[in-house]
Amino acid sequence: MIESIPTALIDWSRAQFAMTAMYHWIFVPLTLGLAMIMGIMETVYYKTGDEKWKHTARFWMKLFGINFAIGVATGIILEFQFGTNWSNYSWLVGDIFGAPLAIEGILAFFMEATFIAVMFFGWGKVSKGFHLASTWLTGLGATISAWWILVANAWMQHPVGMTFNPDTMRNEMTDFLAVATSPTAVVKFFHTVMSGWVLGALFVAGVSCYFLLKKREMQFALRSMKVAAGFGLAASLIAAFTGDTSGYDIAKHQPMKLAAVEGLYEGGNGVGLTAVGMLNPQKESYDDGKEPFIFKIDLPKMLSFLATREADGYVPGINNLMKGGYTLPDGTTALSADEKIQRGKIAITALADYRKAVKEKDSASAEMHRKTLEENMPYFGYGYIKDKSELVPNVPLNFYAFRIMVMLGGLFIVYFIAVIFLMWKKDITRMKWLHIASLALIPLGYIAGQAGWIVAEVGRQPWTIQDMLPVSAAISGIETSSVRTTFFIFLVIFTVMLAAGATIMCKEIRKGPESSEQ
Amino acid sequence: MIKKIIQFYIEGFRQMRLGKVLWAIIGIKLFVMFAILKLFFFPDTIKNESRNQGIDKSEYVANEFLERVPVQLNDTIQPYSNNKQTKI
Repeated sequence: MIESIPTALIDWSRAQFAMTAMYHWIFVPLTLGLAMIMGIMETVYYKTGDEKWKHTARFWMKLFGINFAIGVATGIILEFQFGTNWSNYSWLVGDIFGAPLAIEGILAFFMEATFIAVMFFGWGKVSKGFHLASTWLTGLGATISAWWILVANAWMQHPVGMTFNPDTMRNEMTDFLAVATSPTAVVKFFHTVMSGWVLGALFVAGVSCYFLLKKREMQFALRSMKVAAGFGLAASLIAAFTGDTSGYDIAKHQPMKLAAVEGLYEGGNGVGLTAVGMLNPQKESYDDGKEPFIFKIDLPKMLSFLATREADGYVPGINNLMKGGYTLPDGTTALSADEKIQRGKIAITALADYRKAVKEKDSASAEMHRKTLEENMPYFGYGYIKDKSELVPNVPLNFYAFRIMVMLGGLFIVYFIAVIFLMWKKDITRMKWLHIASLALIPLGYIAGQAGWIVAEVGRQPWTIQDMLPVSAAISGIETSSVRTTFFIFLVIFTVMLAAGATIMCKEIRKGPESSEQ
Repeated sequence: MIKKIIQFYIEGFRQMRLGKVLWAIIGIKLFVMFAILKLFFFPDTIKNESRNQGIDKSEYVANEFLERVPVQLNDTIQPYSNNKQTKI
């Protein structure tokens, strides 16, 4: 009974999901970032009564509205794909994802939808305090939405708080708090939301510099720059801190992802972090004996420190993870990939035998097979691995995506510090180079966010749920051609939507804050 | 109170300029998503397949998971006898 799933089906389904998620992530971070910035600006207006701040907040609210309208519901497409392309996965996680996604839909989305109306329609009609509260609650609603989505994603990286029920074939939630507040979820939430805040700050700074470059709306632009630079610096620093915490979490729960991100094939104690490097394109397999790098510059012992909080801590490389046999932090010995695959197959066999015994009403046998299944469940997904080289994610994509994200993150910190310093010491209205640089940083903010998601998702491969379900088992056995068709339908729809959104946004920016009263 | 809230929304929508364009975009988008894409391109795979095969959904998913293993079950599997304390 071997059912062959074509590689092309997996590739097209993954490509379709990745494309949809990447389009979705164009809109979400700007929503998160702008929501905070306009909240800060309106708070200044509330405190000072200065109409200029109201004027400023309203302009950014208008751009927030455009971004929100174009981006809203793009995430629903992902849920369509769960049901059609990833139905096995969808069934397996239904009980876990049901609660966070329902909370996201009912609480957060409705909160956002209710208060966004007050925010846009309420100027002069509701009290200043109620309007300010509505603005903040709109942002809070968007942020709570992000929380629950990221809880679901974090669970896929490190599944906790559940037990597998072989009768219903579902993972059932046993500990809601463990799912909602797992360290992986907490750190993912802060790191991801901060990246959105950074993008919001870059966007506001860039658009403000457009006005400075055009010598229009100078005071408005300077006011906006002040908020963007301070807010952006704070968000960038928190993003850097949570990025470090995220790396520590990955080292504990997804060591293969860390090894791929570092291009680390042979681990050890006191391992250095590759600051700059170029991978050897000739290296095609983890065990082909070729050198992984053409050149690299290491920061001595840094990877060990980041991964274990000890300069001489042990960090396994890809080959070590394959061979196993090294000592884990809890004193036990790591299994090899072959051993994990064997235990995965035992788990799947036990599942088949359990279900057969239940059908035959042989309760003693069912109990025995259930016990075997539970003992080997942590390796369940390995049973689907045909060739152990499948366990290695795409090293070049992870390696370069991670470095793009980190280097851009560092650049943003330097940029925000420079803007604060220059605004304090000099007149930036004539610094054409700064205006152009600020505009150029807007797309880089998007690239950094997308690179981060590439590391998070491609680094988890071949798993949809870490160690539990590889993509080859998660996918529906549907026609590749239908997935390919919908891929191109989405590509066209999203591109048209993005073009429409960008056109409206640019038109409104060109009109300037004068038009924001409309 | 309810009348005031309704009036607030009616006035808000009536006074919109750019907002009308944005609402039109949202409307078209939702129509394409739910009336075209969901209806014609994104069927519920498990619901349809389990109905076609005349089995319940969990049975269908169990079959899917058991049939995806790259080798015949019981073909190559030996009882696992390594130290039980070992883990990832």
